Amino acid sequence: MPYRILTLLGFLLAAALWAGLGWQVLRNDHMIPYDPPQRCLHAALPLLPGHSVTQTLQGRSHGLSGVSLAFRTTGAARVGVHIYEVGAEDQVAPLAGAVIQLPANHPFYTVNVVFPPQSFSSNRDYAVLVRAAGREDEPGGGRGAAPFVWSCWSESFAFGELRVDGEPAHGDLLMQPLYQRGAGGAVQTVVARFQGLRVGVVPAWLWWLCLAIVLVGVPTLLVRAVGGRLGSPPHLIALLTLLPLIGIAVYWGDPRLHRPVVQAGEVPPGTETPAPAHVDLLNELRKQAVGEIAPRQTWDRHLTFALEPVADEEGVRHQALRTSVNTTVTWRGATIPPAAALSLASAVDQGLWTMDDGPIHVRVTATVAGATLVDEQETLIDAQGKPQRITQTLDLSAHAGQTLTLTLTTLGETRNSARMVIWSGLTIAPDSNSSP
Amino acid sequence: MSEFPQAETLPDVPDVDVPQPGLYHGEGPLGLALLLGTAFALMLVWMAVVPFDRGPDEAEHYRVAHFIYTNGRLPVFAPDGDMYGYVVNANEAYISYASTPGGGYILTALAMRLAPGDDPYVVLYAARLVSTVAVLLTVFLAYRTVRVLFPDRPHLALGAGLALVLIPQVSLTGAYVNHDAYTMAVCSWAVYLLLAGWKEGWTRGRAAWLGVALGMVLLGRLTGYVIIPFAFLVALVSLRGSLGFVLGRLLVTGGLAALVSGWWFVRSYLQTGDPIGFQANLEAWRALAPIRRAPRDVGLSLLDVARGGAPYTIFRTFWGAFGQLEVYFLWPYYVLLGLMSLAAGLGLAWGLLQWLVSAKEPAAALERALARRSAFLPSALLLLALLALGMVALVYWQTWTTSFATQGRYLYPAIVPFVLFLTLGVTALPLGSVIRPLAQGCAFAFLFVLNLIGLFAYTVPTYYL
Repeated sequence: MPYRILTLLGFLLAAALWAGLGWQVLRNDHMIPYDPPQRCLHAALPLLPGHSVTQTLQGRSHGLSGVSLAFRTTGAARVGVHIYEVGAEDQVAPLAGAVIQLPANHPFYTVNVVFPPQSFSSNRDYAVLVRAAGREDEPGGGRGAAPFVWSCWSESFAFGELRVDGEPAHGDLLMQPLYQRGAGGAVQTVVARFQGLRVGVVPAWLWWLCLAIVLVGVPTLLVRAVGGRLGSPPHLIALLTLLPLIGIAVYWGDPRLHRPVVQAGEVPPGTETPAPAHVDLLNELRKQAVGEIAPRQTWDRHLTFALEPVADEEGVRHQALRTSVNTTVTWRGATIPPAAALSLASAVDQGLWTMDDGPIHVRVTATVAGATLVDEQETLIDAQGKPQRITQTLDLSAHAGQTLTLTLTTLGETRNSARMVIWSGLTIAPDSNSSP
Repeated sequence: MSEFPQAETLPDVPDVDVPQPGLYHGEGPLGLALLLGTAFALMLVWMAVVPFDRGPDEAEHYRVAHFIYTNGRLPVFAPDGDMYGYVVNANEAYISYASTPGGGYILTALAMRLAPGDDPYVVLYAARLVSTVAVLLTVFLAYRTVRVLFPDRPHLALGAGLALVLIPQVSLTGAYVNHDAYTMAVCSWAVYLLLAGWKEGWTRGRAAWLGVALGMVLLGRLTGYVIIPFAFLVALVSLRGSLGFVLGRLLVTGGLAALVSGWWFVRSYLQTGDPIGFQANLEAWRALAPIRRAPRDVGLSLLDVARGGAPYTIFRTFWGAFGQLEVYFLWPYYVLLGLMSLAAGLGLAWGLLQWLVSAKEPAAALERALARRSAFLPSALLLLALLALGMVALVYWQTWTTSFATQGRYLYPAIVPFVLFLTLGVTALPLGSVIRPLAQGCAFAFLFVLNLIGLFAYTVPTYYL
């Protein structure tokens, strides 16, 4: 076959591959979870009949078209989920209003509630209202089988708020907003980004020029680096064939690039493995051990009440609190897990550190079922700028099932409370004597 | 005039080289210009797209540079000083980079001062431009270093430069304010000067520039200090001549390095009691994240660290992990990158085997190669391999002894040896003159596609869509 015909066929093959790649990319819409996954201690909020949980969020982009929620059930249950735009509740119907049937005994059941993409959702406020949909006398809808909606202990949404029965609550729902954007939307976003980039005297078109240089320059270099010439038809055809082939392989191999639009209703719960028993029980412990802090530190959201787990892989959990002087913190009502059943140890490790420039007094009280185990009377921490630590170790193995209350009080004068750091840690270690 | 004999005066002993593909031909300055222009454009695209603080700790790096820009002095690292850190939780804290040697931050602050006006956006981009230029310099130095090693293989140099800039993590590193790009550039500069001095002779000027480069290395990230023993090794092998000549060159290099960087160590010692600031940094971690423990401190062995997946994390973050290292490629990409690295390793092993087999007396040839300056190439490659391995060992050691070093970009002070061995290994694969360029092309094309999807399919959807 003449060289010219072979060359022509080669170019035609390359063109077909490029067209195929382009068609594949453009024909699919994407449903993209925008907010990074919430990495925090999860807590299950009960959805009791007649009560509701509301989470507000602010659209981070246009195209908001759903949220993914996670539930925990013991018995079969039904929950109602309503999503509406804040400020427009009375004018228009909710964006989504669904009653979802939840299967029984599912530790982590994810549900997508979707609605038509909102063209101008960026920076608008939305609310997700969740409540039990069953009647009290209805099997599965009553109090005995109340479902739970998973929440995240730390504040995950910068402009979102969690309310339980209308009252502000700590943390946010464990919720994944979903944004529907096609490939065209992605291109539009990049276009908008580039067009908005007018940095000083640098014109916006410079960025387009850079992109064009990259798209031409890299393939040229690629051919030269392997000893070829871009002007040589075989080399050019090899390049033009190679790039779309890799592109197509990557496109089909990477679900991130062709994620289909998520349908309403349930999805396989494979997004997260069910929580192990000891984590589950730790969540219960955390839920019961909500602290009371006064005054609450609000000058930096990172420095407010923090109560998070660490060292997941080792099965060790630590709950820590940062606070300041003249503060009383109470963790109360935490049920001590039965060690044998929970594969959890039973030790409390309290630590206090300060970097303050003046001495403070600290009083720590630990009581179990009303009996005081530790009452550290006004321990003096003479900081002198050096971190100090007081450790109390309690063997709680004999108190499984009983209620633990911890109280921490700090008193003192300080010239610079912003630099004050006090940690009170509660560590639950695996019990080496219990079976896994 | 140097007392030391120049390379040109030595007997003409040909360097032993790995097999070359047949398609290689000459490459003029046009190739280099194209490489640098394309690399710069790619860096600018990344820089334009990556949002602020969506590179590892950009806000913390920028905080230090901005302090210098605003106050005209370095920040004091202390609990009651200008910067220290703040708490996230008992296991997590942000520790200020004010304790680390501040060469990169000073340059960044200078660039910010040179920015037209004080528009925060313009100032930020001026700061980012330092990282961009640093990556660009590294690309240039990778090219030049390979040219020093393989003067008759310009395309290998072009390939090394291209591979370097296409590594998605390198592209990201050039797109945000950080200290890694500076460290990478100055370490690459020192490596280039060392190899050039070794091959072409230690003129006084070259020794002086090396002193400046090493001084700047000492003002960079501590991981870059691995260049110092490498420099001693190279000096040991290459610095021959009269005692006066050797001492003179060492004095020039050492003196200038001390002049450039010595003030930092004195300052750091006076302020924190620790000349390099590392202990002060660790103390801050202990104070602000008191329950955070390094693997060693909780009784884990080096093997436990490997079992825990640290090498895989280092590998992934060497090639590409975006945002605050929370956005990773899908795992098959890393598998493919691993296979590519493995192929390069096999190619290198094959090349070495070929070289040994081609020598009539392999042991004697190796001994000669290591002992004689005329056998520059194998000796230089050996030392570069030691540098790369030393870098890996250092990062792995830090992973074990600290709680924050499991990051592949800490290997970048030795990025030039890494990309050199990668490209050299791929070209040395015994695949035949048709398949080999195709395999190389596939590797480069894969890196290119990976770079683009890292930006447009991972970074953009995560932070914009």
